[in-house]
Amino acid sequence: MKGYERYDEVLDAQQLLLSLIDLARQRGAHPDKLLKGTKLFSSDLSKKNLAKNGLTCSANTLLTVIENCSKLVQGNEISFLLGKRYFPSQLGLLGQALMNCRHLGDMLRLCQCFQLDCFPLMNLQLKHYNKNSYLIFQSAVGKLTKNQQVFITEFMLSALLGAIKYRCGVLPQLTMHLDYPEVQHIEQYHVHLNMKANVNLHFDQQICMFTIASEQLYLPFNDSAMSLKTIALEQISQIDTRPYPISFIQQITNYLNQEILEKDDLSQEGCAQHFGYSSATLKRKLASHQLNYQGIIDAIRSQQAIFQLIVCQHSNEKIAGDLYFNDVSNFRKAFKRWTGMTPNTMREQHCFN
Amino acid sequence: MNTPFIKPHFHLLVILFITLTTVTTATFTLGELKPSNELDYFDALGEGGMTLMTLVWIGFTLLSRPTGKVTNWLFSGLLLMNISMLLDFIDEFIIYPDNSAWLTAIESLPAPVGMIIMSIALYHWHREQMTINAQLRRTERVYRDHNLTDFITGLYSAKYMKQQIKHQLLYSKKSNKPFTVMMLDIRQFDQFNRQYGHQQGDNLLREIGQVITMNIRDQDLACRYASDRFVVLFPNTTSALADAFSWHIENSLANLAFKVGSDQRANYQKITICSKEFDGNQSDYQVLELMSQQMDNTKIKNNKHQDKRVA
Repeated sequence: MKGYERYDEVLDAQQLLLSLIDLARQRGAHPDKLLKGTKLFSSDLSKKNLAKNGLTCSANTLLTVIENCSKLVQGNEISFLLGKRYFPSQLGLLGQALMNCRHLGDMLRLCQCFQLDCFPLMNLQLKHYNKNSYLIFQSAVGKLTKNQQVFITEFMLSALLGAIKYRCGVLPQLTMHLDYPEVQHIEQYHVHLNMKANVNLHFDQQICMFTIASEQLYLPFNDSAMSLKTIALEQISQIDTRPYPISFIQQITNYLNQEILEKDDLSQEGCAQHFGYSSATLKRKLASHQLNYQGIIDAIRSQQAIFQLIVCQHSNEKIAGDLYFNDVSNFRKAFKRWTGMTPNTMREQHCFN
Repeated sequence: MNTPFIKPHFHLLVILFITLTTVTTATFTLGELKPSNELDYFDALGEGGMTLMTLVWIGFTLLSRPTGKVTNWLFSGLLLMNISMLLDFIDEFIIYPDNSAWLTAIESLPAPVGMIIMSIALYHWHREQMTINAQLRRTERVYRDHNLTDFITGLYSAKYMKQQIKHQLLYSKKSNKPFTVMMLDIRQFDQFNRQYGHQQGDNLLREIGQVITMNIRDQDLACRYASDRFVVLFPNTTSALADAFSWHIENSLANLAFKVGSDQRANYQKITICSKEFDGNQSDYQVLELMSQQMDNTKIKNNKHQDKRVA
């Protein structure tokens, strides 16, 4: 099965693009200025065109509009509002299926399976350790600018927290690590996410990660109906003939995770062969996401190392062994190259936080 | 794009049109065209230009002003001046027979009358602007920057408040006078949004912003913090005094009967309000963190209180 790429015109434009443009317009931005650089005009998004064949757009179009929006609209409120209004009304049938999931964990799994329909710009990875669950965010469409990264993370957080609050009634205890420096508009985090810096919100981390107690994640909802969920999912599979449910980058990440785990072949040729491409095609595809093969492997390994270091609090020897480094000094060097600091420095910083 | 401005002034435009056509037709029926060798083109050009300019002024006045007394005064004054200029202009092309010579005699009369009316109108405009400034005063302190206003409520945004708190901290530390920050949050705003739509939610926020500004003193500053949260800065104020103001605001918001669109039912809002006194030894960043913390605590306390009452 093929995964969707940055320039594939497969995203449902109505869901994110139109809501985003609407919100920005209500705050005084001109739609054509928001669409600058996308080769689209606001008239292309009119109802007449939508009626013909549900409008689609590429992830790159959405990213361009997000970048324009961050520059044109004052206040940094839009990402939060977009997220808050996302669930369940913006998701159509999938929203109905999500509403009838057994627990939050079930909802997350559905989000992962229907990545394209739910959160097309981010990969979600769930890890468990001790009594906590950790949801790790990574870009699904290649390299992002800082504005895009902040916007998408805020949107995801706002949507996830909105959904949790909607289904659980109250917000449980949560912690958030963000991989960008502290923002100017911290008040939006206070009000929309109910998170405070240095209490349950940590900026300037090397990992973008959301922590929730596992118990809370699997706490069953009383009002979910399994049959309604099944019907909704069946209807989706009938209507939705799009062949790309998850992103190409997510597929590669999954494949590499498996290979690293099995200590198998990590060569670019092997990976290309697995996906049925030539090595040059794979390289070109990655380049269109502004990524390279070694960079992806490094990113996966560094995320694993950081997770083991700050969450599991493993020793350097243990992490080096788990990641198949020959010795600890090699691991320290690689870690320094990935993150700009030694494992010990990061450990100290994290304890300090 | 400009039609929404033209539409309310439709009757004024009709008056303008009728007056100008009457003047033109009257002069042309009463007089006769001058032979072309008697025309003074230089004079005609100057007077024509003046007529045109006054017409442009009338246009801009109508474009930028709402209907009302001051607009009517401005319009009448400009129209009278325009008539004088038009008569003067037409004069260049037309000779009147002896029995209609009175027309030349009165042609300069409308202009001075128009100027007097304009002066009265400008005086009223000045008074109007003073009122608008007074309304602005509580949403603004010393410094004006339209880039920092919040698009939805018209109040300043959190960024402006942060700057002002920074100044206030410096001042408080120097002068040893405390100041108080108040935070205010609408209860169940999400539910309101879900029920009536986000457009109505935005309208509600705007109205609440206005009620808050009506309840504070001239030296105080009200801003929108984020979403459904507002923040007010009371300089040189102890928390005891600010509590009284909180009570005033809470009281008037409890009586704000918001109407959703053209629905006649009243929609009352409950709010959570908290305030805290600062002496200038914190950073601007800490102030807002502490306020958010205080807000959370107040909410928890209120919920407990309600639970007890239900039990």
